[in-house]
Amino acid sequence: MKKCRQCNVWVNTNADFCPLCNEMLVVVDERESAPLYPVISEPKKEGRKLNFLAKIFLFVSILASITSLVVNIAVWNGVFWSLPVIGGIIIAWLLVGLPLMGGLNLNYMLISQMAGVQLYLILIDAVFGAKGWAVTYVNPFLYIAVAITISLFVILYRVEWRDYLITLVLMAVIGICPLLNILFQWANVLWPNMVFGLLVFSPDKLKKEIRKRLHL
Amino acid sequence: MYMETVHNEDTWYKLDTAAKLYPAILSPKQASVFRLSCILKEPVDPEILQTALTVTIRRYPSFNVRLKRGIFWFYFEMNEKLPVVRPESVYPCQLIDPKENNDFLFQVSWFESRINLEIFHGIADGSGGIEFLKTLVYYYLLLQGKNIQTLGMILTLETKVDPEETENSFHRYYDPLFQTSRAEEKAYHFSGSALPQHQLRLIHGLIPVEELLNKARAYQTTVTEYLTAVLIKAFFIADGGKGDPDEIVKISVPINLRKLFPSKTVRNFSFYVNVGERFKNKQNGFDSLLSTVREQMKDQMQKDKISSRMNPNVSLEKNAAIQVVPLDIKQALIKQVHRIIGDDLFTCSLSNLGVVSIPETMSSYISRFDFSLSISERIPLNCSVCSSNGIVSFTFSSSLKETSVEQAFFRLLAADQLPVTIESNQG
Repeated sequence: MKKCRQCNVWVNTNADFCPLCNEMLVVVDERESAPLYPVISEPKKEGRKLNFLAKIFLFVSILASITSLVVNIAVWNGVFWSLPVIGGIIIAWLLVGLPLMGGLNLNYMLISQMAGVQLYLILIDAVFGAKGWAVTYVNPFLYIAVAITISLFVILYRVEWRDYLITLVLMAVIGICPLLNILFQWANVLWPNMVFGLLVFSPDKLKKEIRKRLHL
Repeated sequence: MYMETVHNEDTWYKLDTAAKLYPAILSPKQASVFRLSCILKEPVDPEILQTALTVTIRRYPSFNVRLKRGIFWFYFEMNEKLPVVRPESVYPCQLIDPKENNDFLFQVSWFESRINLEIFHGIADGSGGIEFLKTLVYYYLLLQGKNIQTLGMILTLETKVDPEETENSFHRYYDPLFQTSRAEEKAYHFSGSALPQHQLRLIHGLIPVEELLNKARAYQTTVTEYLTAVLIKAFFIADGGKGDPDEIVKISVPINLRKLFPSKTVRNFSFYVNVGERFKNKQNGFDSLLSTVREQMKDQMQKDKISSRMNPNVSLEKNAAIQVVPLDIKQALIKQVHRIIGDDLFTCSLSNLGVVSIPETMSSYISRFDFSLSISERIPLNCSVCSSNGIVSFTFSSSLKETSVEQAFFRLLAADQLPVTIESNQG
């Protein structure tokens, strides 16, 4: 135990100076005090390294986008080919960058990737002749792929199904849209998707989940 | 010892009225985390502590949760993982990242002979948290083979979870007819040079309970009133005469509503009163300051006044137009409103948890309890108090390099013939 004559208080410390006024302490009792708190090491800087790499990639991405846009306009040949290039870079960020950065919930990640890829395919379709193949062929398969990915993830990693239930239901609902558009032409491909989403989980649990999410 | 748990994976809770604020204003600079510590007389055995925690969590369903986003509000749902104890390795009261914490919103750590329980304010207030810590320490000592009894002072698995323990008591005592505005004058804010981010300095002051009680009696006042007056005076001194004479130093004193409105809830059920004095009145002396504090406390602590100030929160929450606003927009609005007025109304908190009552058979294994608060950008300094085993423990948490308020506060107590022992987490 030590004493600070300035503050007129006892100080339980191994340090030589008063925590209140920084004056020299007077030793009253020679015994060492047990340490009261751990010595805190500086936080690790792993996160910053990744950030630095990400910044370089971001810079390269922006540079490439601007370059292709400028070249496309300067040497105009009737096709806006730079848009798919820029879109491709964005999609690459979405597909590779997003999982690498981590922290994002699988639901949000898959849904944003799905939306991004869809938009990108529609864009390519529009730039190169608007034949409608993206909407007709690719999108329905995308929904199925996302639904299967989530289902597999839930089964393989034994994560809690509750977290992914709503996304699966959402996929099933989105899955109906092309179904309506093409009037049952794609029913064979789409039905498994819908049935999957709704049957695996009992309607009772679904009801409870929806009540939680929507409570006022 | 085993009992049927009253909760299962389908149990979920709405956030209580006070808790609704915290997720919106959350940031590394405003963690809304408080720490309750129990200092034992022997070094902590981490394995026994882990077992004790695994048992304790079964008794507190409202702690066994994770925060989830709904469309309109956040909610808590049962967490099926297990909370894990860890050695203390970061500064106190830092942001709790659920992802690194098995989704839990509280954390148990240990250092030497101290057990720390850090809690995100969204799940409980100090009075709720201390119940959890008492149960944890009880099971820890029991598992160590100590001969201890609860004497009805500890919630254990033998006592069933009362539904009242997880209720939102703000709703039970809500009366839409009693409402007043809470607009009040902005308070003086203390500032200085900041410590590096993520650092928090704790300075504890220890005083024997009897001596402090006698001092308060000598002034014919309560302990909280006496301490509030000393703290205001400490700000007068620490400011060094720079303060605008018309500015007002206001201390926010949290009130445990359970004492006014009976409730067993271990979630949030506290409110606050703001008590203050202007710089220009600092020459009037301590007795005048003390009587100002006493009058303001007496006036604001009336049950009706507190009720009419807390009811507006509930009516906002129940307002249909607000309810249907999507969560993200609601969050952004709360954040803005809090940024504009939230921390403006007070200079510093003085949170007195009161006596931590433990059965006598347990107290021979325990040195004392400590209670610490986190800070925010506008409020870089907070003070908290609790007493146990005959010791009153003060804790100043601060993100400033300057120790002038702490110094003035403890020098004032020492000058009032109170024996003060100081401990700190720095040096």
